[in-house]
Amino acid sequence: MNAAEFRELYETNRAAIHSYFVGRTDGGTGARQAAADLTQEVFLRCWQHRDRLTDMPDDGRRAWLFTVARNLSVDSARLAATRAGVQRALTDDPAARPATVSAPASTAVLAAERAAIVGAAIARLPETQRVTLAMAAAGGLTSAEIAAALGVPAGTVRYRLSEARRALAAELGTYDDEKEEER
Amino acid sequence: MSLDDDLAAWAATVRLTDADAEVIFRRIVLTGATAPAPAPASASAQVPPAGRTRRARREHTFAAFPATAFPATAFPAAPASATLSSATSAPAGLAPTWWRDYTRDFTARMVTATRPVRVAA
Repeated sequence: MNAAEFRELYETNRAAIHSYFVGRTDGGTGARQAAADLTQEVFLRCWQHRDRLTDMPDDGRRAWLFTVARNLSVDSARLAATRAGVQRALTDDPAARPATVSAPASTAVLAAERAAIVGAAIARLPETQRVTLAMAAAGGLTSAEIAAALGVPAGTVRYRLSEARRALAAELGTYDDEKEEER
Repeated sequence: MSLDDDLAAWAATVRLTDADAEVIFRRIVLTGATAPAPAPASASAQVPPAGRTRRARREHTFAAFPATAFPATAFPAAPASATLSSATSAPAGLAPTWWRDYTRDFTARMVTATRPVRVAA
């Protein structure tokens, strides 16, 4: 595998791998950089073992990438747990809640605050739901793609997504477009 | 605000940007370029067999990392800066000639020559 082929593999899978790590961390404000570090590690190992991947089909390559990603996430589980604890401590502190800020804020600041609140709510989801939701929302993957990447049935993915959305809508006090469409 | 709006706003804050992705890609590929060998198949493959000429040993070393793995088109040239000299346009890494005399024998002699010597009290 040369650099051009590696770039194609990287561009095809980077969003999926990164969103997987976003879900495996905590989905909070620090998730982006932590996931970026782990994504870099996955593709670095891929580059180092590119000879092994040369004759592999695309599905096999993606499966190999997610196997490495799962192993890495297990290795970093302790770090993630620490980060989640800090995140929970911050969000439980009334003084640190963005919603309590009374000073006038711009639209961008309000959007960032809203995103932080959503991230905190996502961080409280069970990990299986969080990973699935992150891969769908941040990675833009379909249920079938998520199912293939995680090695679970597509029905399970759809159920996890539905449960995650229901929990989020209840916690955030928003309405769920998909539920409205079903009615 | 709907849940999809909330999720889209959150996803925008955690999604890997194209700029960050490009930085990661370049870091990975350039790290591989400067590493001695990405993944040796076996330990013996790293040691040139004795009795060969210096040229053969040198070619044996560079065969582990062929230049064809990095086509010039894969690395577009950085934009030229008026403040930088032409020296910065040279490719990254050491020139192959830098390693010409860096054989195992030379390394062994260098280690021996720089070893601390016990001095009598």
